[in-house]
Amino acid sequence: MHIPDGMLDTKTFSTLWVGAATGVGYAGYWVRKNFDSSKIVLMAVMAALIFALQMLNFPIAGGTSGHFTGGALVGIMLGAWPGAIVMTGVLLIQALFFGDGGITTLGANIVNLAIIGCFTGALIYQLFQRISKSLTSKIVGSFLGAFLAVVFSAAAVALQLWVSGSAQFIAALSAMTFWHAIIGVGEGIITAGIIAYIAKVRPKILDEGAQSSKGSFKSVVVVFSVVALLAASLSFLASTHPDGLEFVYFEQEIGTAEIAEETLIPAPMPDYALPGIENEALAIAGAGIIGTMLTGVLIWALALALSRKNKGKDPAETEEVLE
Amino acid sequence: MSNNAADQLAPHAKILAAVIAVLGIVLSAPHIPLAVASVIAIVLLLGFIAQASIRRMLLQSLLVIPIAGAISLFYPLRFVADWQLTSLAAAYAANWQPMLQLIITPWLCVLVMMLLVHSSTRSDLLFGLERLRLPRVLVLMLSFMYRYVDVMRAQLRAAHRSLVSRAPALSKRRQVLLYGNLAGSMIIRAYDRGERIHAAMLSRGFTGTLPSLQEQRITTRDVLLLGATTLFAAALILMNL
Repeated sequence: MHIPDGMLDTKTFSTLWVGAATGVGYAGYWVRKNFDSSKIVLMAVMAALIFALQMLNFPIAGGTSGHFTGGALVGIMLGAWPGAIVMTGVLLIQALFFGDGGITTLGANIVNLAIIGCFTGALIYQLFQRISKSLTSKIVGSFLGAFLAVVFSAAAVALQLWVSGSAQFIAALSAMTFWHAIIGVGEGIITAGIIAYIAKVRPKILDEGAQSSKGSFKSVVVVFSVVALLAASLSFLASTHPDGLEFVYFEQEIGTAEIAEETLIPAPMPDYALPGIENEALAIAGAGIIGTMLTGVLIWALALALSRKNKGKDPAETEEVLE
Repeated sequence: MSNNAADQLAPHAKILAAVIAVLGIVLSAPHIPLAVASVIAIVLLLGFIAQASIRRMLLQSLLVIPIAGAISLFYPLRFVADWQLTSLAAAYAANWQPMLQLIITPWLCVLVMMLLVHSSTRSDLLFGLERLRLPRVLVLMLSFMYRYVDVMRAQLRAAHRSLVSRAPALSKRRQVLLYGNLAGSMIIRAYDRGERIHAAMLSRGFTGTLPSLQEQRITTRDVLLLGATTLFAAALILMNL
């Protein structure tokens, strides 16, 4: 999934470099603030291990094979920010020493595999931990976290290739998500297997990882800020043509523009543009930022509500709810 | 240290020069044969001067071609109107040049990176990254990765060998479970190892940073290398305008 040099155009790779530098810069600050030198040594040894575990190949259809990437695993075990640093180290070594992934595209690869990969894995696992602390919840959470981390990263690659003009969007998205959904199952099984083993043999390690993810509200705000900035910078690519539903609605003469304009409650940002701003590009960019932030707040509120609902419940009882 | 010209250059200057060259190739996306041939010729000549293994450089650089080739297959689909076989064939026939471009550019970039790797030691490259002000946490981590990655790989191979020799005819499901356990036990060992390493390092006066043995500064030779690479990158961009 590493994007080589020459696949992304200047605006895309430089925007993603800014996103990666912001993310990794904050991750470095977070690690220095919250971890002592013993934890940093531990992160380094884990990074070496993740590099070695990438040797674990598993067969996919048609004689091809996928390999373990480990983003979700380090996110779950060390926390999302330390995990992002570990994966950045792995990606840097791969790009610099092995030519696996480009130099100009290193920012994109960090955003896709280190930031999206680690955060998706860690946040989904933590969401399941807030529902129940049982072994089943750990296994399901780690499997889903790792699976979605791979699929989301693959979708981000397809999006970046399309924005750069290197690929047709639907074809790239379908091919990337289809193959990576299969790879994601392998990644999910390995991650869930490792987490289940550690939960049985040395559960303390997973508790430490959970501690590192505590107070991650700030982290989520930072991540969504970066994503919002990216959304704003890419918003000028939004098509001015009607979407599929609108097209069919008018083309098939199901309804008219007058009926379509009639609404019970007026939308706060009609046509994805911030009202009151004359400059169209600024209005769309503003709507992109607000939309991304609102989505982030809603997801976080949902996670908090679920965790409060289950707080104080007997673990066995919550396991029943999950099952 | 040998006395070839590449060893006398500061590692951070070499890394910077490689990044400038890669930027030049990416921004110019060389499509005229003269530009492509000049990049290949210069990289190979520098590899020869640096006494790098040209064969290994070339072989390792070829690994990017299947990935770049697969991505390039998506390119003509942007121009397909009706998804009929004839339209697809026409789109591929009309766009073979940009597709080739999407393969050549990454290959040339990897060739440059392979020149850097094969003309420097790994510790030199880590030192160069430190001098380029990469975050300290990241440099420390990369140093440990360099130290322990081979140890971890050897352990993983040994564990895999033991698994295969003791249980050669297991079902796929049992194999997957055993690999999960194997990887899990490796992680627990890594945790224990991390604690032991830290204790050993503290006893030797570790303060959170790694001491650098060498203090190689930028010399006239390094400035010349950076200047020549910048000129070459600019020439590539102009040649392909």
